[in-house]
Amino acid sequence: MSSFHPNPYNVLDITQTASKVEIIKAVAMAMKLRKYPLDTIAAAQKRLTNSKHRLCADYLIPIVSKVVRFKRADLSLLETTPPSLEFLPDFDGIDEAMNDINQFFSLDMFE
Amino acid sequence: MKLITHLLKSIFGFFAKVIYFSRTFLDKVSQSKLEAKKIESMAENQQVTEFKNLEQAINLSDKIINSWSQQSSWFEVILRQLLGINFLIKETEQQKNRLIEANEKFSRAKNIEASCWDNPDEGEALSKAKILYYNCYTLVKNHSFIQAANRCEQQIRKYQQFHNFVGQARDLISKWKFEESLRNLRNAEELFPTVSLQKEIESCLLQLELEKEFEITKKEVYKLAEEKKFQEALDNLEQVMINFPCPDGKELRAKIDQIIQAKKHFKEGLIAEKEGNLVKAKNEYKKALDFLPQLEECNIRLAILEVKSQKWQEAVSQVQFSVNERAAYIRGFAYAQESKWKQAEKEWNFISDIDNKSLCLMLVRWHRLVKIQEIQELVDTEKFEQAKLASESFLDLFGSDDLVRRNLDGHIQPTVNRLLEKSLWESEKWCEISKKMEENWLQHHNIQSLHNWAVASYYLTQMEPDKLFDLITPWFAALANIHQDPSLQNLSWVTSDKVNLQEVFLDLQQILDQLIDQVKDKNIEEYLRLLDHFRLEVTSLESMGSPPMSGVKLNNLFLPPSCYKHFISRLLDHSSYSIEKLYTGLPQESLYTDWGLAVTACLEGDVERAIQIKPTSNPKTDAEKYGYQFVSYHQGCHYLGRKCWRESVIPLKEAKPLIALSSEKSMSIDKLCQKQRREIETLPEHLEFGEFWHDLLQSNSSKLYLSEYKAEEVVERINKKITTHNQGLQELRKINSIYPDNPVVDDYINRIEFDLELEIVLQKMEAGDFIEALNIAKKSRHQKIKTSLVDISSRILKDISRQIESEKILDPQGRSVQAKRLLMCELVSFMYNLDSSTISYQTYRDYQNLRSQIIRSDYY
Repeated sequence: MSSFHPNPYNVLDITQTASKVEIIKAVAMAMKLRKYPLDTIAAAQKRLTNSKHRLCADYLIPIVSKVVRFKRADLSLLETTPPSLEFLPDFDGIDEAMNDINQFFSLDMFE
Repeated sequence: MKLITHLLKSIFGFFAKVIYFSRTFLDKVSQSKLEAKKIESMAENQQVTEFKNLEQAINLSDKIINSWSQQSSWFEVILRQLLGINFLIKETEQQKNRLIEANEKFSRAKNIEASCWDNPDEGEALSKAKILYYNCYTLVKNHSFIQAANRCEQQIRKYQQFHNFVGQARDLISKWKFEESLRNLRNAEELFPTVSLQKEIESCLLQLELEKEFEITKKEVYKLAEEKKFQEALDNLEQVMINFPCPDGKELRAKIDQIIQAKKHFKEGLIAEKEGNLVKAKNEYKKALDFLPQLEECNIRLAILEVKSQKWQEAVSQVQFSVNERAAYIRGFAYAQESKWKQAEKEWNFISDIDNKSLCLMLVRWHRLVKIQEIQELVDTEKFEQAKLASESFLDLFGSDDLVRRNLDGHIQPTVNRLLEKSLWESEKWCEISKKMEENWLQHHNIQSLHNWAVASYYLTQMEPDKLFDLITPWFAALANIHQDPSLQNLSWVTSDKVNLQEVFLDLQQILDQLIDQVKDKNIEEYLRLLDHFRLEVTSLESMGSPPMSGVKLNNLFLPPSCYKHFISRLLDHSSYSIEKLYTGLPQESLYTDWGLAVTACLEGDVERAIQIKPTSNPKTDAEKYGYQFVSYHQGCHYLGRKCWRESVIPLKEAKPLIALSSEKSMSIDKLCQKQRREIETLPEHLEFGEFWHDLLQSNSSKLYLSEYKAEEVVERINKKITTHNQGLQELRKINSIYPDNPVVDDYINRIEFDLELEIVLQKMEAGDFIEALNIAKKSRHQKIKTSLVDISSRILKDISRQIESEKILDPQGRSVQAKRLLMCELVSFMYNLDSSTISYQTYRDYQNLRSQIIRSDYY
């Protein structure tokens, strides 16, 4: 455990966009909070103030999934009376069938 | 005198009788022969229809036979024999028998023919008559018999034709084809208008009349059916079918009957449905369908019954294959009841009525928006997991939707992932994270999953240093693709335009190098193992280029050897992945084989390690063979460098194909061999090494070296008298072909040639053949042979001179002295001719004069 080198961004609890001033402030805060040993905080500061080392620290941050903005739909139709699901009488046809039953029968049915 | 006269008369009388008898006999013979010929002619030429002559021929035969039947005198017997009468009688008797047999058969044939003629049922009997006619012809060669047989044959054919027509007609009648049948019967009638045939024609004509009647009724039946008067149509049809029950009629009757029965049940069903008796209605509809399965309306009614019973799936099944618009509506309605809006919308799109269609589609849209509203509310309350399920359910129910798909893929799913990833990474359970990231990589094989696998493995190594080996694979794979790694793109704190990726690449490589270096003092075996793989990956990355252009490519990512092997070993189905192999050549490809580690060790100059870790299996592919040869080459060079040439023999022989392709490698080995030869002391080892070197390279140095030592070996044998000069010379000339103009070998050859020539010249001289000796010496290309001969001659000359001086005292004119003087003269002449500078001209002349004197003296 002693040889573990956490990512300096995690040690100082800052994002990758942090400026040098923000880093210095974060170092002061980290020392105050004492979440990590002082030498770890110092090492983190050293790494983030050196561009070459900071690039390595940036590389050692996992890439998280990219999220795009949620797009909303026009729901105004829902403000109207909701339609009901009923069998349309036009598609029943029982009366038409009873009135003219012969329409369904012919010798052509056998062709 | 009278007696004499009487005697003479008697004699004359006798002769007169004899002459008369002979004339009569001869006339009879010629008559019989003429008649015999006439019989033959009568039998063969007469008309068979007028066969009276056949009997006449028989009678004539009888007459001939009878005319020769009387008892004959001895004189006649002799004449019969002489004139062939007996043979004639015998032949005539045989002829008569044949004529009788022919006559009998002819009569039988004629009777049969007469009784069978124009009767098609007697074809068999007529065939017998035909055979009898043929038999007659075999007895008597009368052509009329053949004509009669042919006549019978023609008639038999006509009978067959008749039967064919009748047979076809009967067959057509069985198929109710009376029109065509009648045509065949008429054809038969033209051949033989028999009584039975007439009856059949009459019957056929009657059926034709009935058929016409049926056709008229059939038309009426169809008309009634069109008018939906099915019962009346059926009655009419049955009436006409009493007399003419044809198959067409039966079929039509069955169809009308089906319609009547189906209609009856369908009507019953409608009434029951209207009355709300759904069970009865269903039964009636099913019965109607049993009679008339093609009654589509019946299926629709059954589907509506299922809808009324709220049996949605049954309703769909009932009209599953119907293209009817109402069927489509019913299916859509049933789907909608089950919230299968995608299928419902698809079915309702077939509705042609605009109002009904918009009502239906509006319903779908409304429910779609309700679901979307639910998703939005879940997102608003940050219930992303539920929003994800709701979105997936939406896409399943309503089909594709751009907005929902975009929100799911771009917002909901990534948010779920991000939350999971965040909680996972924050857990700092590196072993678990590393495994999860490895799975992600194997599933997605993109730069993001590869990067995360490398980062997770890095932190795992921080916690568990013994897992360092597991870091090498993802670390170098991620480094190989650093050019497209998003973690180093768009960094806000970087002031310059572009990050120096090469510098970061080296820094990250160094991180791993340092981690491996820390193992060195703790576990040397593990350190060497790590170093082997590190070197392989570094070499591979160098061979790929920056950015990588060659190697193994998967999904736009370049994989170094260990990552490629890791990927392949964990997949069951390789074919589903498009792995591109873009090797620059066999050297690069060999790094991806089991020989890669040893090849890299060689490249790093660590040949001893390469020998340790090289595979023990035989190479199979071209790349493996390259790796094997490459390692063998370095192994061979390694041993040669250590002056252990014998250990290098096998590996260098294995690497021979590779060495042959590279002049650099050949030169390198050549130099090592030159150093090695200096360490060898004995001639046999020189020879062995020379052979190996020469076999391997065929270089000039090897040729020179081998030819020198081979020559030395031959000379040694000559010196030890194991080999003769001549054999040795031949061997040396062969050796000279290895490296022509080798000065050492040439010198050996010159020396032996000189010795041989000198020996021959001396032999000639010894035999007194100075002229031949002189010729050989003069032709010799060895100048030394002349000087040697001059020396030898000079010594002999002095020696002889001393001998003469001592002998002269005793016998100055002795023969021995003279002979020796003569020898001296020859020697002087030989020496002068060999090299005029060795003896002065005056000395030469003096000896010439002396020679002349000796020859002129008593000596000869």
